[in-house]
Amino acid sequence: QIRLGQSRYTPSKPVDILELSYSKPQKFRIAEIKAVGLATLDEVAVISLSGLRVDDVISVPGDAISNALKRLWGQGIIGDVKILVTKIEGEDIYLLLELTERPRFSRVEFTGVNKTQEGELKDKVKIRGRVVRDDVLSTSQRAIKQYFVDKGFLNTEVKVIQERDTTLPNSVKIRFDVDAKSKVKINQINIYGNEEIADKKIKGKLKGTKEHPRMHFVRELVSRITNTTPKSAKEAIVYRNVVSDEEVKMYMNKNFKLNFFSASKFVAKDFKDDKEKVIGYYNSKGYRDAVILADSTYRHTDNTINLDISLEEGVKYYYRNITFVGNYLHDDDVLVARLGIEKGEVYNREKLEKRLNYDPQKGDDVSSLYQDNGYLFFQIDPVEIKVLGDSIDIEMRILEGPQVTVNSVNIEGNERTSDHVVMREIRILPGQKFNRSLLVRTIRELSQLGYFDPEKIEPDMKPNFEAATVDITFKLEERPNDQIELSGGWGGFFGFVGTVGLVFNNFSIRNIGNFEKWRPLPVGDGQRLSLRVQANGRTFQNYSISLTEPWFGGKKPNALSFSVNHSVQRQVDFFSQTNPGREIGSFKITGATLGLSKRVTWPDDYFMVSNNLTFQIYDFNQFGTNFGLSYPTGTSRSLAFNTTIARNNIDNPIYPRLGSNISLATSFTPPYASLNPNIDRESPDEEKFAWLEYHKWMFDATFYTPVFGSSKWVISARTHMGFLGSYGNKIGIIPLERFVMGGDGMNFNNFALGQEIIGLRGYENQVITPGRLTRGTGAPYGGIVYNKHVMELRFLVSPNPSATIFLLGFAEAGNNWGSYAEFNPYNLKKSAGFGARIFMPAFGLLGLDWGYGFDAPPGSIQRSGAQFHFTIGQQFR
Amino acid sequence: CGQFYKLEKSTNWEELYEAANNYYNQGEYSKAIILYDKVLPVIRGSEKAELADFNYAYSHFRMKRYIEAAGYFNTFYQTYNRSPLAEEALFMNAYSLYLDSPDYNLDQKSSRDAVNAIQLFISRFPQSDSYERATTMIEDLQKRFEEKAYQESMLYLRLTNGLYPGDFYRACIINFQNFAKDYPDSKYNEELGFRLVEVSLAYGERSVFDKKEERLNDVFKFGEQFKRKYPESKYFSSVDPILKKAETELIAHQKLKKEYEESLAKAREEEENENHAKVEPKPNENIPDINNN
Repeated sequence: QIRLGQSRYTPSKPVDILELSYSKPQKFRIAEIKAVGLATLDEVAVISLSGLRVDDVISVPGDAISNALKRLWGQGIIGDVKILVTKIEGEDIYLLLELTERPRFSRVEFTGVNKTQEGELKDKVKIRGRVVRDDVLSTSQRAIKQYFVDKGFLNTEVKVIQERDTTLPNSVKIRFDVDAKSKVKINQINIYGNEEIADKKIKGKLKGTKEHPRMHFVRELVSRITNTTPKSAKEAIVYRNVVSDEEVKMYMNKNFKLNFFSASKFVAKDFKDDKEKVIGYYNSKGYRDAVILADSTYRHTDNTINLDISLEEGVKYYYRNITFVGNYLHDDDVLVARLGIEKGEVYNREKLEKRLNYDPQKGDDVSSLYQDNGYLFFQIDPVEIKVLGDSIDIEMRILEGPQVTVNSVNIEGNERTSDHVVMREIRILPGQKFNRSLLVRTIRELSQLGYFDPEKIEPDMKPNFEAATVDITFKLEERPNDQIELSGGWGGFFGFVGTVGLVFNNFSIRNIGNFEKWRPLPVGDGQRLSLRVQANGRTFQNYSISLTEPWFGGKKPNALSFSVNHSVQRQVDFFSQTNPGREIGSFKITGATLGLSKRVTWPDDYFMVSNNLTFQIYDFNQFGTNFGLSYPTGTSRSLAFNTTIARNNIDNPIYPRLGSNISLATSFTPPYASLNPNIDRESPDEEKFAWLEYHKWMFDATFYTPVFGSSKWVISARTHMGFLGSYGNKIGIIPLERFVMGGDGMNFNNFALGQEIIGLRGYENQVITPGRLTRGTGAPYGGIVYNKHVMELRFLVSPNPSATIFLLGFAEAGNNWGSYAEFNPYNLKKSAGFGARIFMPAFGLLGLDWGYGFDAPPGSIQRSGAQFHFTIGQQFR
Repeated sequence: CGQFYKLEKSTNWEELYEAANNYYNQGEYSKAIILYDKVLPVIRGSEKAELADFNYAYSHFRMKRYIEAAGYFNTFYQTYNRSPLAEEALFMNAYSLYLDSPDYNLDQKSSRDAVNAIQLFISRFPQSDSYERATTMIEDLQKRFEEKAYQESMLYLRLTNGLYPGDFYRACIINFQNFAKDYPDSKYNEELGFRLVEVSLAYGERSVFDKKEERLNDVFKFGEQFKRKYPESKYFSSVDPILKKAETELIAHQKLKKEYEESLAKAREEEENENHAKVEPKPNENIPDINNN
């Protein structure tokens, strides 16, 4: 860019004052810098921006000049720039910046877009303050158009209108007039060239490119009738030919397209992915050579297009001989067994890759044989060595590599959570042979902590081939994990109705005193603090606080938890003439629980044993008879020791696809009454139940299995049962802590203190409870044995972690019995229905179900029929 | 507030610029930032831009938005590297990153960025008045890295009392040696050196038969290493008893191994004899049970 003597300040005749040679740069001292051609910019400022300064020693040619040019350009405010040498005197050089100033954009406006779009577009079009240039304008115009095209507005038009900005010298206001037109939808997709695989299947693979819903049946019928001639009518009536399946399908395909849930817009990028999916599907069916020959879109109406795809299927291939070379550690037989592909099977590249490299469902692929034992560098390369007709011979070329030891394990990205909280969960450790299963398990367990985005946990491996070691770094991304539950309203004479719940899943007790570290609360030590107030006006209130330290003592994952809660249930006479809102009776439970739960390694390390001690005070005020106690007012206490043995290996807490969760929980109280000689069956209830005496057994098991070979469809089968008993026959089974069944299973809706709530969809809340019809007369209320079985088919609609949504269809059956004599596990109340769940990290799980109860609840002769159930949070039973 | 609202709507750049500077001088940094945002693209290239850019970065700094502040200070330095403010900008870039860097028990990415920024500052302005401060900052960050690594070692050591002791003994052995490599001058090396001896004995004791000898020999290696390096250590006297224990263990092991080999040889001999005599080979009963864990 240095030109000699080209400026008006120098004689027009070029003077040979400087010989430029890159091999021999000369050093000069800058004696003077001047800038010309400026209109609004300041000379001093521009020179300072150039980074050159008088007295600097620069080499010519050299970096200094080119950097100065780069800097000036980088500001985006200058139309053109040249750096000229005006004079050289010995060591001194005189520089001149010859600049051309152009108008700059002072303001950017949009019309024809809404506020959200404007916000997003402003981020895309960042040209304020830059020089007006055609390429900048057309780039912006394209970006705006692309933004709308990506949303399915294919006919978007963007006009650019420039206007002089009068408030500033040398500047231009710019306005983008956007006319998005209406969304372009796909009317019909035509597929040509497919002989083996049906149109419908292929269209199903076009996940992001769907046809517009159509229901032409009526129109078609009308047109038939209007076009009917006597002859054709007669033909139709006497038509006796057999209609083939194919014809019916064709007819249906032409006139029906039930597609109300997915958008039918056309997005080029999605379509490209979709085409790959179609080919992938063909490949998985043995059509190794399938190709899409051409595709085209053309106008159907103004707002709709048709889409044609023509493809060639090619031959369907099969495996013939599979051989291995390069395997020294394992025999061919072992590898073949692992591979699970036999001679004569359809050639399926996708399955082959999966069985060779990584099978996420089972994890027992060929690579695991090596990679679970340190052979990190293991490679297997399937080579088609012979293709004969429709048969393919494959040679697996194997590179086993050295056995690699883990050298270090690190984490990255834990901006809130302390190192030790994460590191103590990591299963793969320094000194071990590299093991892929442990790595996968670690990822699963880190995602189960809930502090990190499960989709983004990524192990970064830095192998050292020479030393046969590997450094593993787990990359994490924190996500908010605290839950706030706020719902409420004013319920007339009920008073305040609602819930305030706060769950801090990553609390830090240690940092409570250190306000500097509050963000916005003390976080990072993996402790769980939950505070909750629930109220349904005056009739029901519950207050609870609990705190859990998951690694008590810091050595083992032994969770220590402490909780306190207080609940009140009141019976209020809202309809009293004289004194509405009078309290008829109340029931309070105040309790505290101290628990310790342990992860154990035997029988396997998915097991957990937890013990806790619960002390509770049951305080009745004109309420005891509701439970079948002979006294309306009085107090009972209980001290129970609870033990739970549970095994949980589900793969994801929000939408489990695989694994099971089984637990057996037992509660025992000391045998107060049995040991007390002054108490017998005839003693008054005040004495018999002063300290509750019972044992209780609860069994829950849930299994998850993916079905239809996809990770979206899952079957969940659950079974639950519970038994309440007494020690001997001395005082009988207590009237408290019994089972109430029916409905949504939510604590909050049931006002059932001192009882175990079991949901059963398709029936009203608590409707399947022995003693319900005689409640308040002094007869016991609640069952002492219950059974419940549930089968659910789930479909994942959105795996997005900020709003996971799934649909479910269910069939369930359960019953609740008041005595062991009546207990009959085959006599169950059945129901079926469907529903949806949405999980949002801030709110937890919300659900809505519709259920139909096929049987009549006790005391009724009518079947329960249709019921809606709304739930908040996970319902376990 | 009403006035500020009017300013937000204003398109008079001069007025906005003045107002932004005023808000900045009065310490109302959030308002200053909003106005600078509007005015900066327009005044770019004018003599006003330099100070405005600098104030803009400082406003973020004062608002404790250190990451943004660091970014703007850095841009300032890149743009006006000949400005008299450039030195301060580069220092503030480093200082913002330093202030942003979290406790040792969190991800240290910003700390590493801070170290790089400080080093850049030190090499660019070795004569600076802030040189001392910069070096203390670096030392502080280095200590943080060291503490992080030490706590990691301690976690591994603690977890040897947990569910998988063997795995964590092995992890400790590798990890403690890595620590010594990464932080050769650390004050923790003495303690970790001693723990290494302890841990390697524990690991050797619970090793499988085949690997026991090798691992017990490691105890001697680590023990001698420690004694050579820290003859004054408070742990010094505790090393010998450990070595003694390892020696007893090793002798017992070697005795067992010898017996095992002898019985193995004997069994082979018998087997051969019996084979010669065309009699069914007898399974070997004399091999002692080996506790594999």
